[in-house]
Amino acid sequence: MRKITKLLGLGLCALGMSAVAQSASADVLKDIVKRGELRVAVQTQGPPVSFVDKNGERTGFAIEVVKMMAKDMGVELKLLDYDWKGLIPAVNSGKADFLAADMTPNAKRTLVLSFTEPYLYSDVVLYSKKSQSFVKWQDACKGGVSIGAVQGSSNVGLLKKKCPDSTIKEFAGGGAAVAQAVAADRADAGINDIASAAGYMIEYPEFKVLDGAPKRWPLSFATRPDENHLLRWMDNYFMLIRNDGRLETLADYWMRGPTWKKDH
Amino acid sequence: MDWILDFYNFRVVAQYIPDFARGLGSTAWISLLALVISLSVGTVVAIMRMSANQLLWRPAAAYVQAIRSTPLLIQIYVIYFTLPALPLLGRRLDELEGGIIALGLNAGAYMSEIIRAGIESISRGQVEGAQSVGMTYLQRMRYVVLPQAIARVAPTLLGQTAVLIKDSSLVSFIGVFELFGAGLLVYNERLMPNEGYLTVAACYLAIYAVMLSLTGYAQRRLGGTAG
Repeated sequence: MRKITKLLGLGLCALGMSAVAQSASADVLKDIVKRGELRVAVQTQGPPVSFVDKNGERTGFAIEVVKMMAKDMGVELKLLDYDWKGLIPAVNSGKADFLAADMTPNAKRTLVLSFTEPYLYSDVVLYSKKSQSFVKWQDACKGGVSIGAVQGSSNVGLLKKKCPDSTIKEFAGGGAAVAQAVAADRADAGINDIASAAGYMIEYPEFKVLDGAPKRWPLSFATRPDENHLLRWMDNYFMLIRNDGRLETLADYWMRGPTWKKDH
Repeated sequence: MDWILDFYNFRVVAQYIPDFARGLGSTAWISLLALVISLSVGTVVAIMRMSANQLLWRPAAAYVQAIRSTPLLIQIYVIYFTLPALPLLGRRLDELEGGIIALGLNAGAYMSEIIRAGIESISRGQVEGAQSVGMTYLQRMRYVVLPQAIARVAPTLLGQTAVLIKDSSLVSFIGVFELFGAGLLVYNERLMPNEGYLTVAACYLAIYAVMLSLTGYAQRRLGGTAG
């Protein structure tokens, strides 16, 4: 036992020192231009935000925004694919310059990372099998109804507040795992953002989206708290592409309908 | 002091103690039940596999091979998602039951191989000696062979149990809240990986330490009576 404690202590010291060593950095935008490469941490959470399409190419709304960014910066793009659990360590350790995901800032998260201004607001919806009698999302908010959500996601907290009587089932393994649970009658309804839900409607013809949205989440990119220049740059970039219409075009294509399904 | 808080902020962790306690309890409970299943199944399967009767050893061998050649996550999914309502139960297994049974059946295959090795290590003379004093097959197993066999392979069984406990986090994929879920909660709400995952690791280490001392105790007891 003493050996274990010693070993653990040693490991903690080593980790601690590496954390200190990595925290010192100047303006990362200078580094990006110097190395000619923008390193972005992404996850493969599934269409339409970030996924590998039928041609084997990584694409999706967040990915296309980042590709545009790198092109306008005039640098190469290097996408680093992480599981959700690995995203924040990747950014904090400096392996990635920022993370591009459909992440929602909140008061506590913003203590740890700097979030950009939202690039999009996304409705949250509930979906179920057509055989269920639900019409509005509120119909699923009653005792005896189970609603599936991604484990630990913001939607779990939302459900606890909006549907306190329902049973909430948290599934690890992302939104697809929740949809699978609904399809296998393991949950009466599921919750996700409207774009992902639209994807499930195509995959599972027996599904329907319930009317109304319990919440509208802001979606942001995020970087280390001390990267002020990069954060300003990204905010500025979103303002630019919002004004010249490119952001809207991408959002329409990816997030507001099944248009992308034809090409990917 | 400051760098410790930078690296691991225990004030934040303290806010999540109820969640970690709930997760730890859930993991311990799931693992304990799965361990009981796996040891029972493992013992029966080990004995079946050593039988000369084809109807006994063939299904046992098939079970062990099937479990060892497929990933645990798939086994959990199959039991949870594809099993229909069970006739005796009158309904489908819920996520906790499905998870525990899948874990127990999975570990049972590995346990059976370990127990079989233990049984085979008991010298033939002891069995013959037991036979000569008129013990039946079950009595021989119960009083002579199994206590010694289990005591002999106890360290290996402990190792497999540690694997079982760590594997139990996979039941989160079918919606069971356990220790890893508590760590994930800290990560998701606060974006603090160290506070989430290192706490989880410490809890697993604590379970392991408790188990280590229990095994030492059990081994001494078994070794003593088998003498």
